[in-house]
Amino acid sequence: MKNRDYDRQLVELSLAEHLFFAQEYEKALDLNLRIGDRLYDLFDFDSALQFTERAEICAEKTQNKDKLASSLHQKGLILQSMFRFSEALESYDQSLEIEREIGNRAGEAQTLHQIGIVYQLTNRFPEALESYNQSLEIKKEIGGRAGEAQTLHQIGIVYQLTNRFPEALESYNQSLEIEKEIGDRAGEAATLHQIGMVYQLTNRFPEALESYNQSLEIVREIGDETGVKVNMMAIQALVRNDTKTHVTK
Amino acid sequence: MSQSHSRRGEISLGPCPPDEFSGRFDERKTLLEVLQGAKDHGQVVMISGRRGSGKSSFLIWAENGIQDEIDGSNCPAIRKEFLETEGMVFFTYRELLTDLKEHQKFGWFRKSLDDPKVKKSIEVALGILEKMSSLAGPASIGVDAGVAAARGLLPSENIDYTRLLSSFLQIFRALSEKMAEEDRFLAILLDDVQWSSGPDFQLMKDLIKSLPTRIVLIIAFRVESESEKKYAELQGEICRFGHKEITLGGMTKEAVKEFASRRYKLSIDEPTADFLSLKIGDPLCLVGCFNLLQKRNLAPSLSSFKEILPQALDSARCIYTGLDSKWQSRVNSLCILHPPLRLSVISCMLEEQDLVVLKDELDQSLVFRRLEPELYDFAHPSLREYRRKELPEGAVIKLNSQAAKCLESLEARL
Repeated sequence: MKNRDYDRQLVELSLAEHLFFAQEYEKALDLNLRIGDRLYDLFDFDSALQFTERAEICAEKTQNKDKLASSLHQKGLILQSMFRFSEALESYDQSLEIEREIGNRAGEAQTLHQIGIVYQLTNRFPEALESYNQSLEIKKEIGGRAGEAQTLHQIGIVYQLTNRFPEALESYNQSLEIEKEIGDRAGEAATLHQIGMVYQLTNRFPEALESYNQSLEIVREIGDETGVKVNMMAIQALVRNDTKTHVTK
Repeated sequence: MSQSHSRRGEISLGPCPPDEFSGRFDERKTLLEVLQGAKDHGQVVMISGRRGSGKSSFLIWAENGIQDEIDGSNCPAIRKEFLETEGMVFFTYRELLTDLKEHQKFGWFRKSLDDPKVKKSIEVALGILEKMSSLAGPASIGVDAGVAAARGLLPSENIDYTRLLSSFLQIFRALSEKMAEEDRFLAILLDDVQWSSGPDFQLMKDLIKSLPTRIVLIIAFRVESESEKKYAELQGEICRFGHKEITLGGMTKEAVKEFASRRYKLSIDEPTADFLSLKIGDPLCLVGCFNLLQKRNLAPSLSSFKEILPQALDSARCIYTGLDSKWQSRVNSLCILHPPLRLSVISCMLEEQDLVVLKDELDQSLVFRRLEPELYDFAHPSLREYRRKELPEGAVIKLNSQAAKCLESLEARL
């Protein structure tokens, strides 16, 4: 083994499995949940699901409701990323039920947000809006400003996808305001980009260009390469389209 | 029947040493043809087959031959394997890059790899892997899956992966140019691809699409029910880009004769070879069968093989029952561990304190093989898989508990 990190990693992965099969659920719970989360971030969804499901069993066996809700939420995220949407919804629903039972308002809001995402991804827009709004209400109540901005952003997307552009702009602007307030530069850039899209879709090209440029400036500043690419492409498309329009006219 | 009694006794279940590799005449020819085409196009060959069909042995033979004289060009070849352990994302690719880097310094083909462009590309890829792969480390750069899910993005929007792929392609392109200057090719051999993680498998498929000239990828894939989906996917890619698949089936009569002669210094007659080819065929089963023959001190005749055939058909069981109680107990204690097995963990599991003696015995063993100093694995995974299935539930719990204790103590020392 040429790398020490990998050595540790192998020990950790093996330990998580041995503790689980030794039925030492208390010890196995956190380790399996953490590895599941990390593997999910590395896009190894099959393994992430396996470790997370082990964590779920450990939480059940030890009657740790807080961790059971976390495991189910994490399982929902993984299933969602694997495009297994109905199973993801089932997992989120189970997580939601426990969060409500134990009074974990922050968890409840986060799970409602994710349920909204799954509805949005499956084109069930009214249900998506309902979930996002429930999530937003809780976030306002508990003061989760970052989460609030994120959910307002998603509400904006749903309005945009259903051609309700004025409502979309309103939601995005509310999201933008919070993002500026809390210094979430990445969120700010993403929301400005979406605002640009709405302007573009409503033929307000100068405003669209301005928003894209503002977004571009931020992503350059924070070193988000994908963000730079996406904004550059949008600007180029906009300029091309604008030129075409002028020529036709 | 001619008989040679120059018996060498039983042999290891591990991959066959290249100088003893037998049979597979058509398959070797096919591989040579593919290698000849490497100067015009990047080449991929998938070596597929069931458990025990000799894929790893074929790969080792190919690696050796390419480095040696297989086509008279003494080309660089690097072989790596994917581990059965779940979650070792990009481990194998990182080992591959580390090996390439080491070859720049010490390897016999260091001249080919000691090019500033190649060096730089390897460093870039290693840097990305450093950030991406550590389970214990900080969250990865770019958009991680959690953020992506909260924003409703799709998994394909993973910037780190895109950078990793492009840096691998840069390495390959730089190596390709270097190989062209020297009129050689570079072979990368990857074993046990069925065990690769999702991201590893994706990287392999993406590399297959854009492999530059003079780079040859030889991959071994074990076909079984659990890996069928992955196999079909890979087969589809191989086919789509006009590459070759070499399927290792049963050994022919001629191959069995060569096997008996090269591996056991035994000469068998036509009807016996015919019988073994028809009834057994795969090399692992043949090893089990010949080992049993040696153990029982039987002559290599048709009647002997007929007598031991029922036992030999289940190769893993046959090998296990052929072991003495000390080794059976060791196999049982270690089968629940994930490879590679550290000597210190083996010692802890077996409660054997004398590391020098243990190391010596493992090095001489037929059922374990040494991967690196102080790192071991079962000589063939089928034995581990067979014993895992056979262990009673109580023993499984007890052994896992013991393994957890051993690993906790190791973790504290790392």
